[in-house]
Amino acid sequence: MDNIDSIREDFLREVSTAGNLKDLEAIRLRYIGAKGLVSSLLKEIGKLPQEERKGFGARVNELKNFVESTIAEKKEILFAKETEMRLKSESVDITLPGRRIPSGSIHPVTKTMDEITDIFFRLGYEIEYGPEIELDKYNFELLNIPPLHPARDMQATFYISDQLVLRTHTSPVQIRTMLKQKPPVKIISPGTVYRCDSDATHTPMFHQVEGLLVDRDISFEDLRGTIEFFLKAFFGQKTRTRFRASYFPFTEPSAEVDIECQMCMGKGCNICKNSGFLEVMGCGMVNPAVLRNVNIDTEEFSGFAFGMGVERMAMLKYKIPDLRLFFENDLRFLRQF
Amino acid sequence: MRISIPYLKNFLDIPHSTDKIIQDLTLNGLEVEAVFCPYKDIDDKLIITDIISVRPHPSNPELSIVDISDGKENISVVCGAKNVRSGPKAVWAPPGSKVAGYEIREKDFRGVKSPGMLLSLEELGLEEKSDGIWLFYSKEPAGTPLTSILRKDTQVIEINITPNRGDALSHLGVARELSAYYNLELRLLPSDFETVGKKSGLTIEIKNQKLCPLYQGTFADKIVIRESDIHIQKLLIESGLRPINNIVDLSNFVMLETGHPNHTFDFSYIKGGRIIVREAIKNEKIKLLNGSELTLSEKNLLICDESSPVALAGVMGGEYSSILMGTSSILLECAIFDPDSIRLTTSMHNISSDSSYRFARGVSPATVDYATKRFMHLLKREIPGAVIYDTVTVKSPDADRKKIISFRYQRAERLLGKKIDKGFINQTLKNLGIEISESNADSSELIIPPHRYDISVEEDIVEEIARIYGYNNFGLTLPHTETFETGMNVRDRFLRIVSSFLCHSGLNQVINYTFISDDINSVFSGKEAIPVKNPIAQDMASMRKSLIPSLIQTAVLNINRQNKDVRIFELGKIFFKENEIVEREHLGILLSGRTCERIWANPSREFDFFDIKGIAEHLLQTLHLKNFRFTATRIPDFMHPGKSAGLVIGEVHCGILGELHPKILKKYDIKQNILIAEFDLEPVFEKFISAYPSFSRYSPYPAVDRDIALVLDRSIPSEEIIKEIESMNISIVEDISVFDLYEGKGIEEGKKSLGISVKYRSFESTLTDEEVEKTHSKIVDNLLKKFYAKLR
Repeated sequence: MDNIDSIREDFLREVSTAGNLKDLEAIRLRYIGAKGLVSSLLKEIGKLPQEERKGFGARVNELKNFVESTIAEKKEILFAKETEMRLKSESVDITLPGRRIPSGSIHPVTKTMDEITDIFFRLGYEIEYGPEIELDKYNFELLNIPPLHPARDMQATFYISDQLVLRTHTSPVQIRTMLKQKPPVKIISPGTVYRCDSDATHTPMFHQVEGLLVDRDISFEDLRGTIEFFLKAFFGQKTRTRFRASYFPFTEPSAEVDIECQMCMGKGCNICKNSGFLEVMGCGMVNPAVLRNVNIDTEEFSGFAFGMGVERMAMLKYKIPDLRLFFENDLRFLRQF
Repeated sequence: MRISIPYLKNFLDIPHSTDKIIQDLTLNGLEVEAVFCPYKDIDDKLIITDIISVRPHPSNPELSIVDISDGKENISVVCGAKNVRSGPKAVWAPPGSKVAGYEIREKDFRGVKSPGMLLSLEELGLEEKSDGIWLFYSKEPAGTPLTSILRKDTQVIEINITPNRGDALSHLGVARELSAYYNLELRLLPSDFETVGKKSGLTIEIKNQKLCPLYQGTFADKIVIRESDIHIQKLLIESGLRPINNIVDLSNFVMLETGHPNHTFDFSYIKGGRIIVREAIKNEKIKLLNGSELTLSEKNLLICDESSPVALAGVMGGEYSSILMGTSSILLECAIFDPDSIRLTTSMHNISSDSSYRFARGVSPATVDYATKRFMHLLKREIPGAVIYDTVTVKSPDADRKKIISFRYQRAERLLGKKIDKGFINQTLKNLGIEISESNADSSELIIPPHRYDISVEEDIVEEIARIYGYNNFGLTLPHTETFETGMNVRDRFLRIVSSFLCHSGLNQVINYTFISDDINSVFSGKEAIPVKNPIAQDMASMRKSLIPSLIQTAVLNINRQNKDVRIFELGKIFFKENEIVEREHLGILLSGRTCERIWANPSREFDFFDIKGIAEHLLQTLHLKNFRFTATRIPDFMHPGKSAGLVIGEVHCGILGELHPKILKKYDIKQNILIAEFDLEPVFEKFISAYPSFSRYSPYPAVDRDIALVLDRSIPSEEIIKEIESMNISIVEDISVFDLYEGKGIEEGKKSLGISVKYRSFESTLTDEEVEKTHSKIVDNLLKKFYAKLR
């Protein structure tokens, strides 16, 4: 056994006992560092006689390669072991909550209004707005509701002056639009409206979305198709709907639209007064008197209009039990949306 | 309006269940809101008895002993009611029967045993409040169980009648509807009666035939006022009206049955036997039978006798000539009054009645005769001895005018989108009482029955056809209309960006009422407020001029409910008067309490000025707005003068932000700091429309940061330092920021230490240390000199 063999044996023994990367590095330096044992052997090659150089050189180089690869292998093992140990000591309590910006919310009325208008955007409706303090003329008279008309009782009105009211519906936007724009008119108008009423099921301020389409050959079947499209998009494709004959001064024929009660799914419950249906919208073919009021030829054009209460839609969609919660603005309510 | 299902069936034989009737009425426009059985809780043991005699109680003057008969034997019961008397019948609850859930037992009233009791309508659950026991007459003998007349299975439906359908405000009207749905024969009830065949001496004069096109008066003598028959009272009870006496009850009965309001006067109080229908004289007064006295105008129509008003036409009778116990002769009025005139009067005097409710919606001239005859027919049944004189009728030629509408079948098809069989259309019209006077292949001339006030144009006919055909039997199509400019417009997009930014910054959107109290409104804006003429409450009397007061109120509500960390915003209109009415879209923000929940990882602290300013800056940046600044001018007096700022975009003052003044906190009794912001969104929107981000080039070379720590006067705004460096116009200065602010220990009083960081970078090459050093010392020297500052 010569020097090379004994170095190899020493090396193997030392490597096998190395327990961490630091020890391993010391071993590496002792053997193949600049002044290491193997490196010294390499330097000795030149001092040997010519005939011995080749054999000795080959063996030393083989040893050097062996040391390098052994250390590399050992390093892998030790690194994995050390990483494992470090990670073990580093674990966090993942059940603690993360750092985050406090969460905000959009009011359910806004959310619902946006959802409704988005559906009508898909059908190609444009959005129109109007003032909340509105002329009596636009809010009532041009919509075929003259002063003292019994239909005014349906809409208890806040007055600002004899000619000005807080709009009781967003329908005056229809009048304003038709006065400035010739058919085709295809609009949706969301907004705040007011009625002089306050109890468990009425708030003096609430929100509506109304739509109007006037063009050539617009029919009642078009109205039915549009409403059906909307309600299925809003409440789900399986929602059953029905039309009921009704009355609005600004439409003729007029209808109210019910959807299957969302609470009992049509079986009949307290919410739907056992009818299985809940009223969600009013609609109808635009009354020719209204079209004439805005100088539209009723022989050439016809149209339909529809409207809905946003709070009611939101109550049905989000199962909100009490209308008054919307305007109380308790943060525990708002944060749910 | 309430409709009794059994009574309805007097007019037609309906081969359908009540459920089917309800569904069809509802789908066809007479929405049934409720169904109830008024008699379902009445015990079968309750008995109809004759009252034979009434004696005083021996020791209690408040009580009487009433001898009654159940047809088999006489029973004596004690009764406390003042109206008890012999003659009429009453309902007896014998021992062992149940009333309102309680079992009736024999009871001792000061030594007098009472086996059971006589009942009031209140005790039967048929009236809110009764004055005495229920008295009535009936052909059914004593001993008849009450529930054989008030049958437990009696169903009453409550219908929501829309304002156009005045014709359906009666049992006859609803029966007429059903006859059209089911193609059933409608039968009128008997209306024959005997008159004495003599004129009564009654004269009628109508001064304004437009307001009263038809007036019919009938005089009847030998009247005995008493309680009416149980069958008359029954319909009133089912309809929610209170039985009074036989004449008043008959009047109401005929109205409920035929839909025709009518009025009865005590004829002995009609002076001169003359009825004059005329407009009131200004300030003329009338005392009505509900006790109120009205001062009238020329617009009100009156029924008068020779000397004074006896009724407010179509609305309510006068007190003076009303039917009382002693009335022995009556005048029945059946008339038509102009709906507009009735509406004007009821709205002017804020008064209404079952009569005015119907007249306002239109009453058919065609039922006047029938209503008079039905009344007299029933009167004869109630009071066989009554003597009825010839009816006097005065009418204008307009009263019988026929309403004719030209109807094109093609028009219906175009409007409905579906061709409906002509045979079906014609049959439907016939069932609705609409007569076809002339017809050709394309169109028909239609005569509209006088009870259908709502049908006046061709489209009304289309609706009638559509609803009887069934709205739900029409198809579903989407309109062909194409539009060019569709979808969300820029304003809607703007509002959605603003609200979604604020939501994602941790704020909750609120929506408040836009009317607030006038006092509070004036605190937050000096502009002229717009009051509501008829507010629902005093704290909702004025249209808000600012979003701040309602935001504060919302904060107070939440703080009081232990939601102490409040981060809210509102997007909504404010209103004021500036020559004309102005509405503007505003954004309001309120922060109060701590910046975030107290959780393990977050350093939480109270909100301060820089939180609200940061939100504003970040929002404007999100909207890609540049050229905005904050100024210390125009701070309103409800804001903290040193911790508030105005927002200026371009040259426009857009709003304010900062801390609320302590005096406001005190006013609202708020114990925590409140930060608010309110911006007028109109100018922000104007800038937003043209604010698009545009790309600018950046350098590929590395940057070098150098810091400066300056000690300078605390009054010098940091912005001036930055502006000063900027004004030096050094091309390699890429960015300047304030990274530290310190005052206090180690720094001289009245001074502050500012840490300024300058980032250097060149577009041409990597900067050398020498280049940076040279420029940086130039900047430092300049700042030291300019601001009399020292290096820290």
